[in-house]
Amino acid sequence: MPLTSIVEAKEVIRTFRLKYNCDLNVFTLISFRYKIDKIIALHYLKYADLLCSRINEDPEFRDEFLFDISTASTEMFRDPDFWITLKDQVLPELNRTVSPTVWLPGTTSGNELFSFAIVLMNLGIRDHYNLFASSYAQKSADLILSGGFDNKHLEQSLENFHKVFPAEDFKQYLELINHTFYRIREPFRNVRFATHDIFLKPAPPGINLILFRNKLISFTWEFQTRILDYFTGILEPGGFLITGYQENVEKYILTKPGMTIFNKEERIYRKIC
Amino acid sequence: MLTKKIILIGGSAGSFRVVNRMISVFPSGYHHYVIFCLHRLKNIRNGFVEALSANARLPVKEPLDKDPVKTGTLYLAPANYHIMTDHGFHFSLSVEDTVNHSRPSIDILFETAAEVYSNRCIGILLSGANSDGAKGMEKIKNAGGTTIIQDPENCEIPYMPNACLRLFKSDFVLNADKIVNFIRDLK
Repeated sequence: MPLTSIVEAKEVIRTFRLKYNCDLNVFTLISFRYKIDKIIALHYLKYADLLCSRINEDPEFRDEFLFDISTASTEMFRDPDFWITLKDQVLPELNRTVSPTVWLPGTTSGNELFSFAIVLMNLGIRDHYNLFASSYAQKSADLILSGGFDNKHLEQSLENFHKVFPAEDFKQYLELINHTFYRIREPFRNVRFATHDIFLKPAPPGINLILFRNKLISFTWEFQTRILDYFTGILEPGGFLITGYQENVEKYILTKPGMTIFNKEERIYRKIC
Repeated sequence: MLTKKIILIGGSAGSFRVVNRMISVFPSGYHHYVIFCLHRLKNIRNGFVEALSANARLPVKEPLDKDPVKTGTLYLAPANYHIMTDHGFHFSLSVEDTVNHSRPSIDILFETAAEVYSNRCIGILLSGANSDGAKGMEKIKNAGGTTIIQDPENCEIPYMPNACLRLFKSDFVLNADKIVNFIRDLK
């Protein structure tokens, strides 16, 4: 079980709400407790009480905390079959739209954003697209734009990439500085970064594709439905919504007006009107 | 009325043959909850359920997030997700960082189940090449559950059971045949 108890987690949530008027009860408690464990270890805080004090006393810690509770994507090109489907089935449809707008809310590590941008570059359509990435914390954008990323899962990312682009060398998108790999900045050119609130607002205008894989699972079911109401409402007709492979949302999405399944295996939904 | 137990099976390298045998002995109408957490390739989603289903009398399923934990199904942790049980007796999935280089992590499943199901847990740890599962087994033991470790001498790769044995004294250390008989005969 997580080291953080239910009572301690609720105290952290209460402290943050009182300080910043932001309710973190949207996260499932079990998942949130593991996040608190991680934050306590990362910042050498030892106890949840000390974390509460830090939240109360250090305004600069707010952004750090929001970054740490965000759900990072695990590696680049996670689920290679999805990226192949995106490349071969979704993007040809989207290319019929003039300057399609793609939104990646909850962007934390930039792995999904980088993967998406590389697919566009590879197809020679990068400049045709408007990419928006938003996150709870400004730190996410700063980290992504610095080129830094967790090298721990690089081998898995390389393996994934080669399944999507067998003839390409992924290392052309990386640079090695002092024994550490950084991502090149080119794929992030013209990406518009922003922060959003806990409800993932505001969204950019005129969205044709929302990529939100494996983020819903950290939320309670009630909050998942609220987010799906929001996403399916703001999506342009003909637009796509993409969720994670094990996310249990198909039935709910299909109750929303105009929403259909575009590719069941890859959890890709489309708004037809 | 018999109490429903929750059987939690963790395995890694060298565990597939035992798992395959275990899968085949759960009869239809099996009274207890069963969850397998097996280390597997991260980017191969399909094929494992099908391979296990070939020998199973109960359906094998990778649960979706927030699915209820039910009897009559053999649950398998999906590739590249941590699997947890929560206090509403649902599955909760996560893509948080690897634990013991593993996602799914056996420790994560076992310790969350220990918190929810306490003495109703039966933790079974099989062959494997890292120490994942040892701490989770200890949590099960401390919660009043039952722990069974595959006898290291009977394992293809004994590292995982040995790591567990170094941590605490397990209720049982059994070879594969006896583990299979144990779960088959559990009332």
